[in-house]
Amino acid sequence: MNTTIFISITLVFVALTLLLGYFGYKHTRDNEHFLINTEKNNPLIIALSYGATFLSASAIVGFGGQAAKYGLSLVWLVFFNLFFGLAVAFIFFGRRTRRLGREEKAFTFSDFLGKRFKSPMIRTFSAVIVMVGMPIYCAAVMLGGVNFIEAVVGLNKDVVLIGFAIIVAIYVTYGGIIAVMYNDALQAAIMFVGMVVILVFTYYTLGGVIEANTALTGLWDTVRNGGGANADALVPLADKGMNGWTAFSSFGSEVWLTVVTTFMLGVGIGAISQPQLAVRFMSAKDDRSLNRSLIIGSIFMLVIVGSAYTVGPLSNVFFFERFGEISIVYESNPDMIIPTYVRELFSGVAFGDVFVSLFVLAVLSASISTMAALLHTMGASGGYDIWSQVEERKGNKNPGMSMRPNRIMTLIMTVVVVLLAYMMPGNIIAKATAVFMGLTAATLLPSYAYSLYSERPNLNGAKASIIAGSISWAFWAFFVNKGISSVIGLSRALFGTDSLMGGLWSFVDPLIISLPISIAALMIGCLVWPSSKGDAVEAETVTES
Amino acid sequence: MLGIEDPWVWGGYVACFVTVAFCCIYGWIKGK
Repeated sequence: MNTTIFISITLVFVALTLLLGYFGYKHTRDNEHFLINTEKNNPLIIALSYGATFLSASAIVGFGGQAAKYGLSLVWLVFFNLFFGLAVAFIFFGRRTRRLGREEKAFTFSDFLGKRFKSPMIRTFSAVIVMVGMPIYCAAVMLGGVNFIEAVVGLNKDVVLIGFAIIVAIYVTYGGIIAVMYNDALQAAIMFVGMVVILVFTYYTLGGVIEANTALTGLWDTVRNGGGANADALVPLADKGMNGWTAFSSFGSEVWLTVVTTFMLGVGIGAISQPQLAVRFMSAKDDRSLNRSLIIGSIFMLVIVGSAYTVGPLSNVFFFERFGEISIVYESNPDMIIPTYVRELFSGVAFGDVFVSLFVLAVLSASISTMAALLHTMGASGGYDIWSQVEERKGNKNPGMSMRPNRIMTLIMTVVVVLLAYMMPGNIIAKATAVFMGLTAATLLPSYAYSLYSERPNLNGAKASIIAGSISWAFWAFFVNKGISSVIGLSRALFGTDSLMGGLWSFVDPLIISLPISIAALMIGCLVWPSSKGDAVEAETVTES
Repeated sequence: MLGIEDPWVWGGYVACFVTVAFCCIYGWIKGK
């Protein structure tokens, strides 16, 4: 494609991004403004920032590619994102997080948990989870954007990766949460336009909605019975329970377990306890702002992921009609299907390069918005949650009020993320996302929910939940779930096999096992070791007004 | 529906639109 058009549009985008970074820098007076800022927010900014942070290039490129492989049934992930990630998160978690966060004067998710349980240990552990798990997710998000630009525009991967990191690091480090959230809003608008264009153009190219969907339904049998490389790719999937791109897989089959437990539940439920999303709740002025955010937020999320998971499967029809091959045959790495599809879809089309540039910018926006939020969260975890506690023990007063540790940690974590992005294997984007979301849900979700609905939360229950959740999650991830254990390699090194439990168990996501264990441990911990200050009672101060 | 025969798939689209409608109505009423 014509790189001049893309570079021109991108330079305008980068200039706007840095301008908003400067706006954030000018309005960041102290560390409170760096970490959460309630003055410069409104429902539109919160909704778009939440949506752009939640949905990254991982959703569009990673899960879009998985949808090309597994079909339209991934639309249920859109539902889980909307239901758990937005409606439940805002209504049952958001308002209480905002009110209690303000009451406790908490500035980060870890700080919030630590103050609710009156436990530096919980705060430190939560911050460590962020520092260990989040770089993997952040690198996957970055890789989603970089792979896309490399495949579609043809720019050098190293240049894109480093350029990407420098731009994000500059505006996050100096502009703080204001720069992050205002840039999120700009990037969300670009994502929205890009995804609408790709959805409309896909259906237009394939002859209309009903025609395209009908063609996708019929393609399954055509390809399965047609022999050749296409059938070789499909028959194993059919043997594992897949029934077509417009049909749900057979209940309990390998494909069903992967799609339902890892993609739908892992990401759907895991989104509730994301530290970078909880900060958006704390940044709201009042409850009405959060309620209003639901309107724009829900429409935004439906369009972004609904388009991605619809276009992904339909790419099979396009590739088959144009090249005689289905998506997974034309491009064997699911992470590269959407980039390749966009490049081919607009090739030879009038103003095709402009459309491609716009869509690349949409994916770039999706990547940058999530990356910035994650780097801001990691910087705050290292600089505010961990460093300030170390300084307090040394006897320094109010160490949490300095912005410098956060800025230094943000830069350090940027370097870590870039190095991780170089080390990651292919077909990792969707998995890495599910891994981080599953890990935070298994370890922190029960304690987080409990801390919101109890006036005096029992620390022993939270400790039991966090320990049981993290140990059971790690065991299942490292030694049972093939998708994760095969990448880590620990099980193979120690026992000579990727999964200690054969059969269908090796396709069950760790979250499905560890979240119930974590919830049970919380309940048992509260019953066996009651809080020394009396049992937790239903919150009076935060009940609905 | 719309070329998709499996109710478990088109039902997913219906569930999404119902959720968005709920969010819009809830946000409108509670955000006034």
